[in-house]
Amino acid sequence: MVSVKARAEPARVIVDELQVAAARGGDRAAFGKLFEQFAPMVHGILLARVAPADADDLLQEVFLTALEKIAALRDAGAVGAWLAMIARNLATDGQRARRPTAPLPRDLATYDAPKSEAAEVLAIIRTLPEAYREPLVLRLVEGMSGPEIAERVGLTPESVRVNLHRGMQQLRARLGLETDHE
Amino acid sequence: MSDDYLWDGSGEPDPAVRKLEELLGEARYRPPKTPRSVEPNAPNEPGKSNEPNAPRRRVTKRRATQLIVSAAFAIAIATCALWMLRPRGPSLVVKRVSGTARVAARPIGDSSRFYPGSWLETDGDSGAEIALAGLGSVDVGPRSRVRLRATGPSEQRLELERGSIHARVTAPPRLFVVDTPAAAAVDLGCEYTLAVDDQKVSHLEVTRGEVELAGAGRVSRVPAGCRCDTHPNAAPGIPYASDAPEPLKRALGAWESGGGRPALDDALAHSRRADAPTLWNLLERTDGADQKVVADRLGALVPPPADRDREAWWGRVTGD
Repeated sequence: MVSVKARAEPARVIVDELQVAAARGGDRAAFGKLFEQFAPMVHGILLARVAPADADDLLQEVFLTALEKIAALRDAGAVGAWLAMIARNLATDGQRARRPTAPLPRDLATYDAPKSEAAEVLAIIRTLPEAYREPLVLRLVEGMSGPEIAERVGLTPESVRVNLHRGMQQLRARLGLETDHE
Repeated sequence: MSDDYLWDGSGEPDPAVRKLEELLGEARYRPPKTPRSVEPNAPNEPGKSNEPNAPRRRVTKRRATQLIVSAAFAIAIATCALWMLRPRGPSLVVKRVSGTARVAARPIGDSSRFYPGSWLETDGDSGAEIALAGLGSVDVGPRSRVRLRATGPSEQRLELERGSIHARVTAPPRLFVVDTPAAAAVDLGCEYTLAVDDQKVSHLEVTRGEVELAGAGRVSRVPAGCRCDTHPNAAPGIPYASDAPEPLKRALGAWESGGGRPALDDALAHSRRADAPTLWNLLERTDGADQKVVADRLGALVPPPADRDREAWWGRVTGD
């Protein structure tokens, strides 16, 4: 039976714990290392909820909040899940303070700038069920593998795999892409 | 095909996943190009130890640790603050016109920077002016919220979430775009007022030149002297002359709400020469027998060119 908790790379988790311990002690270099390691994951979690420009601003807020509160982090091995929770909360707060995301045009060709096309697809991803958004963005945007997502975010590989699969199915349908699976 | 590629990148690449990876890769996190925070064990003054925790003369080890921890936090916070205030590439200049307008929650003066991603907000008593880098200017009215989405040689793009703007643009066509919750207003060389009300309905009035409204896979062309109202989750409205008769406006509303041929006939019956832009836009939204009656009425008001070229007809309709 496979272990339920994602601990595929225990050495990395130990490194995280050491860095968290050092960061809790005020070691700014250790905190910088944590930032470097987890910024892509936090960025992906934010992109799953807010527009790209807002994600950049919120990324800074997430780590400023983490810097303030890291002394209260009990389980150093769960720093990824802890940062993910801060990111989700700040994104939710940000959305409450702002308007809901504007609905998408059905014909993306009217927004013909190449960078806008990516933004439109991201906006479509943000309309998918919440459980599917994060793994899809972390996989397709941030380039993380499924096992890496599970380990970083603190979820089981099984649930990440299922959510990736179902999320991709729904995204294919929304984008009108050919379905090769099943 | 299994989903191994989606899962961990192994196996036969899934073309759809590959395509999305390539497209969305541009949104990937990019580390800031700012200097790293001060490294540990940086060389100290000559004669002093490089070890941050090394005891110093007359200073207890515990006190030294406290000082180092405090300094480290101060440096980390300062580094974060500098990072937040880092130069962020191209920006526009915005100035206060009245009251207390804010950019990124900070009050603005006579020459404040407006960076992509930032929000400009005015309250009930304030107004601001955005300079479009030599391409015109945008007055921001009271109770407005505007975001700069992009600024560069190929695109100047704002988002109007609520409130109103008045734009005077001398940029080449399609360079200046304003997104609203209902549609994107694409400047074709003009002056116009655009407002978004509490129901997220956008209201456009063009006073010079022409604006193209795009959204939901449809486009409306709004020339000078016309207005256009667009609801969220719907195609851009059918433009109408600023002095259009009320029965015509009611009939257009009924047609846009699914009133069908009776509403269309009603609109055509109340149309005048000044309403030709309305009929031209209706031509684009109709087909078959409906399109024929619209074309007949438009042709009666503004004879089409011999080759019935639509662009040439549009030129006649708008008096170009």
